Amino acid sequence: MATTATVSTISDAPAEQLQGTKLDDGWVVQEQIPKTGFQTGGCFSCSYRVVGKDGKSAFLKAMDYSAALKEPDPAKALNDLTNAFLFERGLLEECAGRKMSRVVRAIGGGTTTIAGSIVQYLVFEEAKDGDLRKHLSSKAQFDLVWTLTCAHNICVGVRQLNGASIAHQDLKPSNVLCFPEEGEKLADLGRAWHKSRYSPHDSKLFAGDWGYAPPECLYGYASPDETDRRFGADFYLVGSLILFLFSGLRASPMLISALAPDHRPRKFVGTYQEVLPYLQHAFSENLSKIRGWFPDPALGGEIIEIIQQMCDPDLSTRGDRSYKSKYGSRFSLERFVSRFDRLRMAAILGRIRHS
Amino acid sequence: MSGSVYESQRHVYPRWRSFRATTSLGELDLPASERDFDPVPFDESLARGIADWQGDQSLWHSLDLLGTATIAGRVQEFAALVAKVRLDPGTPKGFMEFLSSLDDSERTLDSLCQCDGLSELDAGREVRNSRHRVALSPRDAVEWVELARAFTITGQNEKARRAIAAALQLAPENRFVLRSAARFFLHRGEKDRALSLLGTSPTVRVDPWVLASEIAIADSIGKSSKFVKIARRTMDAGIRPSDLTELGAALGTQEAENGNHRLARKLLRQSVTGANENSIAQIRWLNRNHLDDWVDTSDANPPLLHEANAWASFYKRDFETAKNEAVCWLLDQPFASAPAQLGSFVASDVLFDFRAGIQIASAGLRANPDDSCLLNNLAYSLLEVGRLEEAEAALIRARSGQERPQLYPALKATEGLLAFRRGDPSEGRILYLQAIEEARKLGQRALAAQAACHLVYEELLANTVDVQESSTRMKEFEDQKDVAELARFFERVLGLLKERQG
Repeated sequence: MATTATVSTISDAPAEQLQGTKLDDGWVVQEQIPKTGFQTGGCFSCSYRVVGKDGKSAFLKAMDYSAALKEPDPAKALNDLTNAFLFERGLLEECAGRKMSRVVRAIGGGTTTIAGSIVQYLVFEEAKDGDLRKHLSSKAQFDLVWTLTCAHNICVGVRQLNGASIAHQDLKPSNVLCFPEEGEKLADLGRAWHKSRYSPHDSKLFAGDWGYAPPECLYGYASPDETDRRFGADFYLVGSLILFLFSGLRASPMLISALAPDHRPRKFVGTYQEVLPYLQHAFSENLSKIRGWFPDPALGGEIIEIIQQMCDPDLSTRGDRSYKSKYGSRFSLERFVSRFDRLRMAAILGRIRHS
Repeated sequence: MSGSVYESQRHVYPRWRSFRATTSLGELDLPASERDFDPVPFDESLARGIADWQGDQSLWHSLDLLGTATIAGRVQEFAALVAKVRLDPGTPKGFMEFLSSLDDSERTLDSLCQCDGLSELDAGREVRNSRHRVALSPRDAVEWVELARAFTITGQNEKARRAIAAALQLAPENRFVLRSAARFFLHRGEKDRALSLLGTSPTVRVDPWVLASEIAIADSIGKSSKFVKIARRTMDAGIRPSDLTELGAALGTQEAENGNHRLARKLLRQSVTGANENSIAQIRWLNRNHLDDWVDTSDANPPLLHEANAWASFYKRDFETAKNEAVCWLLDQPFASAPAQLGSFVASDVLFDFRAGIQIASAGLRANPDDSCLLNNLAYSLLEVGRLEEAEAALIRARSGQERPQLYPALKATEGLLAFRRGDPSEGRILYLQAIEEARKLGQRALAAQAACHLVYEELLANTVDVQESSTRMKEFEDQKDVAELARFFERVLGLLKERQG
C-alpha cells in the first residue's frame, strides 16, 4: 500500500511541551495525543488530553507559533495562524452564545507561557466514544434506531451552524464525535466559512478535505453565488455522511466509481457542465442500487429521496426548491431534521412492536 | 424467396449503443486540451487518511480510507485492504456492492464483445428498467436516451420520440444525446431533421464526433455541409486519432463519391489510425464500391466489427460466419433493419436454415414492423416450414408497406411460392414469371435468376408437367451460377432435378 505519511517527531516547540503543566483555569495537561502522522503546511497545532479540577477529562488544542517561524515567510505564517486561531475561537464563541447543542463546545481556553514563549490553547469537551468510525466499528450489528438518531443529530448540528450563517465545509466521519449521553456533535470548525466574517479559507474553492469534496469541486467548478457554493457543499456532505452511516460508502466515491474511467475527475478534460449529464446518469444508477439495500421499501424510499435531494451532483438542482419559499434556502435542513425525527420514532416504535 | 441484399449506399451515420457500451468504447471522451488538475490536495487527503487508518485499523476506518482512495484514483493500490474488507462479516451490503462494481467496470468491454445469439435481446426488460430509472431521476438525460433506444428497439417510436425530446431538453449540447437523437431521426427516415439538429447545435463546431455525423447525414441527402472547412481544419488540429476516425471517414466518403480518390485515400488512411468499427465498415464499403481496395484496413481490428465482418464473410462465401456476424451486428444495433435483412437472407436463401431466418427476420421486425423486405423474408421462411397462414399475413403486411421497386420481384416470387404451397401451381407459375420479368426490367439479372431457380424448385416439388420448360428458362441464367448467394440454390435445384430424373 502506498503511503506518504510522515511520522511526527518529538520537538522542542513550546506547544509540544505542555505535558504536566497546570493551566490558569485549572486544567492539568496529560499525555499528548499522537498527531495523525501527516501534517500539511499551515497545520500548526498539537493536542493533549487534559483533566479539570473536578476530574473531568477534556481535549486541548495548542497552537504552535514556533513552527510558523520556521516557514519560508514567517510573518505571513504567523499572521495566517493568528487569523485561523481567532476565526475558530470567534466561531466557537458564537456557537456557544447561540447554545448550539450539536456542535462540540469549547469549554476553556487561554494562554500559557512555556520557556518564555506564549502558547495559546482551546479546551474542548471530550468525546469518550471517539468519532463516527470508531463508534460504528464498536457496534456488533447495524442498529437502525441509532443510525437514524445519528443522522438526525448531524442534521441538527449543520442546521444550527447554517442558521448562524456558518458553513462547516469539512463534514466527514472523523469530524462527527460521539458522546455517550449527549449523542453526536460536529467538531472542527477550522475550515468553516462565515457569510459575514473574514475566514482564512475564503479564497479556496473548497476549504475542507478534498477526499470528501462534492462533485462540482472535484471538477473545478465554482458557482458565482458563494452562499450557494458553501451551503450547497455542506448539504452534499451531510447527505454523504448519511449514506456512510447506512453503507460505509460516501457519496463521491460511489458516484465516481459508477462513472466511466474517462469521465472521472482526474481524467476528464472537459468542464463540470460537460460532465454533468454523465454525473447525473451515474447518480441515477446509484439511486437504483441504494433501493436494493433496504429490506423495508418505505424506509428505502425515504432515504433515497433524502440522498437524491442532498447529493444531487448538479449544484443548481441540489436541495428541494419547494423549501425555498418557506425557509428561504433550498439548502435548509429544517425539513430533514423533522424527517429523521419521524423516521427515528417510527423505528423505535417498530422495535417495541417486535420485542 | 428472400429479398436480395444491397450495399448501394453507406454513410458514417452515428451508431446508437447503450451508454455503457459507448463509454466502454471510449467514444465519449472529450478531445479538448488537458484541464489543469492539481493532484496535491487529493494526495494529501489520502496521506491523512492512511495515517489516520494506521492509528486505528478498524472496519469503518478502513471503509472511510477506501472511499478516499477512490476519490484520489488510487484504490487499486489498496488491494490487500479491499480483500480484508471483503472478508469482514461486518462490511455493509452497500459497500460490498461497491467493491464488486470496481471489478465490473473492467469487464464491460469484454462483455460487450460477447455475442450469444438473439436470445440476449430483451428490449422489454430494458424498457421496464429504464422507465423505472427515469421515474426516479427525471433529470437524467442519458437515461432518457436509454429509454428512447429501448422504445425504438421495441418499435414504440412515438414514445421514443418523446423520450428523445426530453433528453434534448435536458442536455442539448451533449455528444451522446445529440448523436443518439440524430440516429433516432435517421431511423424514422427524418434525415432533414437529423441534419438540422446537429447543424444548429453549437457542439458541431467543436466536437469531431458530432461534426462527422453532420457531414455524413448532409452527404446522404445530397447536401453539402457548411462545416466542411471546419472539418478539414479539425483533421489537422492534432486531436487524438480515435476522435477523428469517423470525421476522416465522412470526409473521405464525400471525396470518393466526388471522384477525388487521391484526397479520399489520404483522409481514409488517416481514419484507419484509431479506427472504430463504423469507420472500418465505411472504408471497406468504399474499397468495394469506389476505391478498388486502395485503403488497407487489414491491421485494424476494433471491437464490434460485425457489420464489416458480415459483409466480408458474405463476399468470401463464408455464409455461416456471415449469418453469425449479421446476428451480432443486429444485437449491437437492434433497431437497424440492414443486419436483419442480410442475416435473414443468408439464413433462409443461402443456408436454407429457415428457423434461423424466421428468428432473425422477427427480431428485425420488432423495431421495423413495416419493413417490406423483412416481412417478405419472414413470409418466405414461414412458407418453407409450412406455416402458410402466418406467411400470408406477413405478405399482406409487406404489400401494404412502403415497397421499394427492387423488392417487387421478391414479393411476387414469394406470392408465387404461397400459391404453389397452397396447391395452385398455375397461379404460382404466373406470379413467378411476373417476378422474373420485373427483375429483368430493373436490370437485376441475379434476382431474375434467383426467381427462375425458385420456380423450378417449386415445379419439381409440385411434380408439375412444366418442369422442363422452367428448367430451360433457368439455363438462361447459368451465367449467374457463380454469383455467391445464388450458387447454393442452383446446386440445390440441380440436385433435386437429378434426383427426379434418376
